[in-house]
Amino acid sequence: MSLKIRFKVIAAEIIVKSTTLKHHTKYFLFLLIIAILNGCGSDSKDYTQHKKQLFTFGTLVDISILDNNSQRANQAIDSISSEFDRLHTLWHPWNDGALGKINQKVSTHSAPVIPPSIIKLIEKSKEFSTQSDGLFNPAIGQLIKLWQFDQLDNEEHIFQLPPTDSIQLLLQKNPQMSDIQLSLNNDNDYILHSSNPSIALDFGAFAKGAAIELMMTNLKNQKIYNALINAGGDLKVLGSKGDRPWRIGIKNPDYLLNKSSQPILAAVDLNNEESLFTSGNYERFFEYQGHHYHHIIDPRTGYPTSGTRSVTVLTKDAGLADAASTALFIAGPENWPRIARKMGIDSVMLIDEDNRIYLSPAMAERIELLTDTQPIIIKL
Amino acid sequence: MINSDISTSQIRLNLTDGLIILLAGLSTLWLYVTFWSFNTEIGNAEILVVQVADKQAQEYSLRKDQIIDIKGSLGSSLIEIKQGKARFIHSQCRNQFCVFHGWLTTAEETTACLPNQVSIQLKSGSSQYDALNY
Repeated sequence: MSLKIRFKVIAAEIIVKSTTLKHHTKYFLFLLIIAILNGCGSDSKDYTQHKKQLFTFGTLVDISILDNNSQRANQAIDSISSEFDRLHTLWHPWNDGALGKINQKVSTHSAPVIPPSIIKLIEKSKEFSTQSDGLFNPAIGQLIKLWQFDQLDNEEHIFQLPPTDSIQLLLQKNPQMSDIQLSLNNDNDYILHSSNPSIALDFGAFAKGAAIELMMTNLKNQKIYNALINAGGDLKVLGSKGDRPWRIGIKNPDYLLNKSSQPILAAVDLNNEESLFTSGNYERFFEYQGHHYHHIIDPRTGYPTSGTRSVTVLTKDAGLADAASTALFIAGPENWPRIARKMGIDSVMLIDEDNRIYLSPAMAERIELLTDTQPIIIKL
Repeated sequence: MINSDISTSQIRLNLTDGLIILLAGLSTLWLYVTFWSFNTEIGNAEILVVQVADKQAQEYSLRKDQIIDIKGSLGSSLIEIKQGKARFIHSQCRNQFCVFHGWLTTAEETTACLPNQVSIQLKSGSSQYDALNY
């Protein structure tokens, strides 16, 4: 029984058993207390919440599961934890995991065998890359490496700018997902063929979403139907938070640099299976000679994208949300509506470098802005 | 519609009834303040939760100003609690992203020193948000 219901029962018992009160006074008091208790918030607590924070996948992952079966919830959290660790190793582009080995072989013109989880990443990435006119391009791993974003967690690394001619050389080689083909060999394994040796696969703009999507399927298979997984600020929900939707605050991108600004820019309620992903120029970066170089590289220029501060995408598929938030960030204030249409995304918020807020009509209907800034509504 | 069968004498309350109504009202107000209304505003967090790797999380009151020395995977992380806010003031990492993040002021806000595997997160009894997106 929830706390609120318990209070109602106690209040009712006290009033009904009272011998000093007249009948109508009892009735009046009973209604008063029930009315006030009913008005006190709407967050029913008829569930048990299980929470765990993990250091995995190169970030912080917060898992919240609402389930009255503690054993089932804790088992689910443990299985998610191991699965995140496993995928992090498997999908890391430069370590000795499966993707790291694939990248080594592609660079030496070999045709590596591809494990099933990476086949899905490649197939989906090819689709998103085509839809985004190549703005989402996981084939530019060598460019990402040239910018040393693979070294952000390396304590010993000293950052410097990549040589301009090296960037230009990679741009000329023009690695694209369409240069990759998959085929079956005699052992029925998928092997990867690349017509472009400059390709290196880095799924940094997609892996988190793809992993969260897999974890949610994992949870449903374990009969968990109300949950939230938040991986470094990007998240997906299942079901609801008791008798209300999951309520998410979207952080103000200005807040990191200017602590006097409002910490939360907007709020949104998420329904079953919805994902909310944001790409921002404040997330992963390094400073060099007083300049800020962030990790979202424009595959057309070879340099960190300018013009956009953040893009937030709301859609069901977490993998699509992840890829689209990157593609729309690169598309920028001028071109994001066209790319959003092509990728099948209808709920978008883009904040440009001058802090103008652009909303798609669908996002404008969902989001509650907590700022005085008037948004610009752009039809898709 | 008012029930005309109830006479004036029937709805007149005596002193005891009045006191009980007053007490009930005050009790209800107290219940509301205690269990539902506090800490729903942004920036009104109550607790700092510190997580080190996969160890049991530790909680600290944000009402007591202090500097906490947390031992992480690489060494020490110093966390300052002041006036209901919290921040990293030093950590055993070269990039110091956690220090650069500055004060956490809002319930559910979090930051971490990933190399040292130390995270800090603000919590409140009834946060307005279930999670933050960024």
